[in-house]
Amino acid sequence: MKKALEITLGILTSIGGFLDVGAIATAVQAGASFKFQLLWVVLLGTICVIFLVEMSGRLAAVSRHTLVDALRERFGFNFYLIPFLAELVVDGLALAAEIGGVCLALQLVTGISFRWWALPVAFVLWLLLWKGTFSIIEKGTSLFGLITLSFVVAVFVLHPPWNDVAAGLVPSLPAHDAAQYWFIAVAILGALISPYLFYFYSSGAIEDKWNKNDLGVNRGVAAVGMSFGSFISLSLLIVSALVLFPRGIQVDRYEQAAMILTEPFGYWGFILFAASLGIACFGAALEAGLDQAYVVAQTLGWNWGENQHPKEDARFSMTYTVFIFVAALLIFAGIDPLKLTIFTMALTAVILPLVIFPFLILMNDENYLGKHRNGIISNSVVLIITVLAFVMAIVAIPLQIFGG
Amino acid sequence: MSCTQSPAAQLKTGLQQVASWTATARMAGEAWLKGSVPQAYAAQTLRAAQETLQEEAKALEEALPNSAAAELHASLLKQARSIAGVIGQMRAAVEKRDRQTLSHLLKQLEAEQQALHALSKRGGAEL
Repeated sequence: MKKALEITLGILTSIGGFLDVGAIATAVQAGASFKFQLLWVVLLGTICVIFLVEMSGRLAAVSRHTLVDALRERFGFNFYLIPFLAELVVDGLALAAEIGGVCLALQLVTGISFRWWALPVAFVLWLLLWKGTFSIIEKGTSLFGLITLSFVVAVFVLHPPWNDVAAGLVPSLPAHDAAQYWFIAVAILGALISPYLFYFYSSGAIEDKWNKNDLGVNRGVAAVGMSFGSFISLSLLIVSALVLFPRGIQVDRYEQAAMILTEPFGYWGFILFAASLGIACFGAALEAGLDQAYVVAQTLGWNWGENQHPKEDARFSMTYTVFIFVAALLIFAGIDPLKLTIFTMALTAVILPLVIFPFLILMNDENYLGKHRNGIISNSVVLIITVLAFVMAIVAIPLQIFGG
Repeated sequence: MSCTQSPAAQLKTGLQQVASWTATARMAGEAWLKGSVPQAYAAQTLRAAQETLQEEAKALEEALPNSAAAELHASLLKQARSIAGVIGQMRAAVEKRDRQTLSHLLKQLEAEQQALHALSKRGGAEL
C-alpha cells in the first residue's frame, strides 16, 4: 500500500513537474509555425528522457552514488571537469530562463515589466531553498504544477483533427522554412533532455535514501510519470497549432503565446496560461538552482543536502544563493527571456554527448551496477537519440543564426 | 533581420513578421473586447506589436531591394507603417477603455490584413 502511494505520488510529481520554460516555449513555437508537424520530436525526446531518468534513479538506488559522484570517481576529476563546466553554463542559463518565465507570468497579470520581478522572484526562490526541505521542493511545487493539465483539457475542448495529429507523430521533412524547422526540433530535444533533470533526479534519490527495493518505484515514476508528463507538452503544441497557426501568428515573444487558452476558456484561459507558466517555471527554477548546488558540491566534495540545515552545508547553500542571484541579474538586465530560453535549449542539445556518453559508460560498469547494468535497448535508444540531437544541433544552429 | 540574408529572403521574413504581429494585434484587440484578457495585457501586446512593426519598417527602409522586388518592397514598407499606425490608435483606445473606437479600428485592421494577404500572395508569385 505504501509502495503504491509512493509510486502514485512520484508519478503525480513527474506529471506536474514535467513542463518548464523550455518545454513551453518550444512547444508553442513548434505548433504556431509548423502546426502538428513537430509532434514526433516531442515523442522522441520523451522516449530518451524516460530511459535517462530511469538510468539515473537506478544508478543511485543500486550504487548509492549520485551521477556526479560516480562520474568523478569513475573517470577522475580532470576528465569530469569538461562535462561539469558545460553543465554549469547550461544550467546557469536554464535557471535564468526559468526565472524569466516566472517574471513574464507576473508581467502578464500585472502589466509590470518582467525585469522588475527578477529580484523579488529570486528572493522567494532562495528563501524556499533556504528554509524548505527536499520533499517540499520536489513534491510541493510539482503538485501545484498539475495546473498545466489545463492544456490537455483544452485539446479536447478544441476538437483537433485527430488524423492530422496522428500524422504529426510520424517524422517528416518540412515543406517550408527548413532551417527554422530543424532549429525548433533541436530546441525541443534540448528542452526535454535537460541534463539537470537526471542530475537532480539522482541527487533526489540519494536524499530520499533509495535502495534496490526502490527500483520498481523508479521504473514506474520514469515510465508512467514522464509519459503522462509529455502529454502536457504534446497538448500544448496541439493547442498552439489550433489557435495560433491558423491566424499566422509566429511566436517571437511570450505575449503572443498568452492567448492560446482564451479560445477554449475565455478569461480563465488567460489566467490559467499565466498560472501554468509561472508555476511550471517556478518549480523548474527551484530544481535548476538546487541542481547547480548539487553538481558543484558533489564535484568539489563538499557537504550537501537540501534536508540539512544551511549551517551544516554552508558552501552548498552559498552556491545556490550565488547562482540564483546571478541568474536573476541577467533577467533584470533585460535579456529577452524567450530568446534566452530557445538559445539555451539549443545549446543543451550541443552539450548532450559530453554529459551522456560518460553516463552510458558508467551504466554499463559492473562495479557500479552489478546485474542491474544497462541492456542493449537502453544503450541503443539513448545513444541514437543523443547523436541525432547533436548532429541536428550542429547543422541547424548555424543555419538558423546565419540564415536569419 | 540578418545582414547575411538575400533581399528576397529579407522580404519574405519581413512579410511573415508583419503578418504575424498584425494577427497578434487583432487577436489581442478582439480578446479584450470579449473580456478574455486584462486591459494591461492588451495594451502591452499592442505596444509590442506597434514597436515591432516600426522596427520592421525601419529595417525594410534600410535594406536594398533588388530590382525585381523593389515595388513589392515599397508596398510592404508602406503597409507596415500603415498597420503600425492603426495599432497605435488601437492601443490608445484600449488605454482609454474606448470599446467603440476599438471595434472600428479592428475593422480597419482586418482590411489591412486582407491587403497584406494579397501582397503576400503576390510576393509568393514574384520571389
